[in-house]
Amino acid sequence: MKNLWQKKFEKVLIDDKVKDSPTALRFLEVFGEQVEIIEGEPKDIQKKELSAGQFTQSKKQLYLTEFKGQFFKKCPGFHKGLACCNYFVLNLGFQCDMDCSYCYLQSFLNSNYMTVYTNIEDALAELASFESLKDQPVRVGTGEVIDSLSLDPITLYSRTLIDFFKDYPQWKLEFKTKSALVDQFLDCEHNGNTIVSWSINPPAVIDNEEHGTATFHERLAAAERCRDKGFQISFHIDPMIWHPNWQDSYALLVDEICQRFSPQEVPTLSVGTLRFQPEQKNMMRERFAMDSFVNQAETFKGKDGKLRYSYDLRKEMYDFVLTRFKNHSPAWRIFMCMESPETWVDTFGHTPHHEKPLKELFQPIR
Amino acid sequence: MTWYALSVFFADKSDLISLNFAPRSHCFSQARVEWNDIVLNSQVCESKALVDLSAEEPSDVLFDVFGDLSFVEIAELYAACTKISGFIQKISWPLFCQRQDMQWNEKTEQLCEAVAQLPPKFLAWAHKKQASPRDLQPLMAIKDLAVVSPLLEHFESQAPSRSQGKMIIDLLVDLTLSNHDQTSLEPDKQSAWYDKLYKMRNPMTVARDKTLREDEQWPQYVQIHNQRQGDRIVKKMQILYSDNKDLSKKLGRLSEMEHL
Ligand code: SF4
Repeated sequence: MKNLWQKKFEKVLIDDKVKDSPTALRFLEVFGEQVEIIEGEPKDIQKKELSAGQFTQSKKQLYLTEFKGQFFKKCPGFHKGLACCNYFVLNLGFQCDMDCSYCYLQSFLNSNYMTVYTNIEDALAELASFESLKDQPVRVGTGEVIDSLSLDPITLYSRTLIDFFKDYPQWKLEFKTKSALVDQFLDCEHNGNTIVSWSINPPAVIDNEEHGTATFHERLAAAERCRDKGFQISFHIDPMIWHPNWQDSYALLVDEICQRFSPQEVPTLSVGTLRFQPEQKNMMRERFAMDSFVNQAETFKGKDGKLRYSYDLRKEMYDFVLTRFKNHSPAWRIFMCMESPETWVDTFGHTPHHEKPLKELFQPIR
Repeated sequence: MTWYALSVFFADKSDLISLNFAPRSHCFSQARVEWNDIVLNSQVCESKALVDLSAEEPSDVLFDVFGDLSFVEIAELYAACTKISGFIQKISWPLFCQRQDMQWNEKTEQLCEAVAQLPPKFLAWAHKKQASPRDLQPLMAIKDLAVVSPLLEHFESQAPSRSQGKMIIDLLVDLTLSNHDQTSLEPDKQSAWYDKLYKMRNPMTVARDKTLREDEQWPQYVQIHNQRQGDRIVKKMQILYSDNKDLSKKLGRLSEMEHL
């Protein structure tokens, strides 16, 4: 296993200030001589727009340091005209060691190092200071700019967080991942308020677009292991990607989920179709050319300025997945993240606020 | 503008190298300027005084000699500087670009190198339209730009606007990477170049848009057209009427229609 980790990164740099933190010590144990302790930032750190080559390289260079700013931010989908859920984002680092063709980090990151913050205790102190929210249904997600679990066997942040959330039964902790790395926290005592969620796609899409991620079956098997230990499970079929025979692929995906899980075991399931910032297109094209279904996609600017499939195709794709789930059981609850209220109305006949099980998630946080 | 301590030469100086760059618009400096045996603006008439600014920071000197440059000119200047051994390393490009309101990074550097090799007819268009690095960045996805050079030459005769040119570049890159035959991508007389490329790039959407049937029955004086607006198809309605009375009668009849 150590060998696999060591092959993933060409460089592992640890800021001298944090070298004695439990996280840094674990990295030292795994990467041994590969680790270099440095004073402050890496000498060759870039903090400007990256070239395609630099972005690829940034996935192979790891830097451990502390985070000095504010850990908690509101979900990026929370702005006028877009329906989205009440969600706080906890970033314990940025960049990802996997490589999806559509990854939005490509239009967003401006550092040539994947960075992991070691001061998780400061994040927890910040969380604990939100006393006024203690009895409200808050959701905290950790997978916005770094996968929640892909390095977790080393950081073990999942264990620290699950332990913290035990005292906040009204709050929910969400890990979002495309990995299958869950075994490191399965023995943790928890309060039933940890959701392990997978962004999932059919094998044809994973093989072509989600490089370095766990396979379809590995993800489902990991989800089963979590379910068996009482963790909540959630799937995000997002981004749905059009490709030849997409109906067959997504039918397989829905059927497989329905065979392995009951609607009660997956309280929320979200669907979203491909969308990305126009600026991201250049980076994606330089890195993945037209072999990628994402670059082949016929996309158009939506009201929010992002490129998406034409509305009628999106609706067809949503309808297909929704119908397939509902044919298995009407009890499946499905919602659409990052879609406009109009799309909700066209697909469900109402906005998210009228979807009873979801109402709680869409309450504004005061 | 920086003030310099000047050394002015009228006599011949041997061993001078000329920088092979002339701005497309105008040269800021009226005097010939030399920096460490390199004449920066050799296009200025030889009879003009030669000013030696070797003691100054070269990025400042370049800015003061050439003034504001278009991105195409910056790329050409960069390429010219790389051709003089050791010169490029002496110039602080981040500083020079900052004065040109541009960020210098690896991405810009790679783009400059690529742009300088594009066909002159395309560069003339890109300079005239003040094309930005972002407009030209899509070209970086093509490994061998010589492949698309013949297509880019058509920018001179087609003379698209900057925004349309940007969209054409984007389409050309996608279609080239999808292995379309280059001759099939050339402009022709049947349709506007952009329209032709758009249809080739989005065959599925074009076919779907065409087949969107007008289910509803409309009276003869109404014409409905499907029109793409971003990610949606909207319907454009035209009403034919003779005078205001006729119009209100027809609108009245329309409002009584069941599907409205
Ligand atoms: S797993 Fe997520 S963060 Fe990582 S590359 Fe894929 S989309 Fe990006």
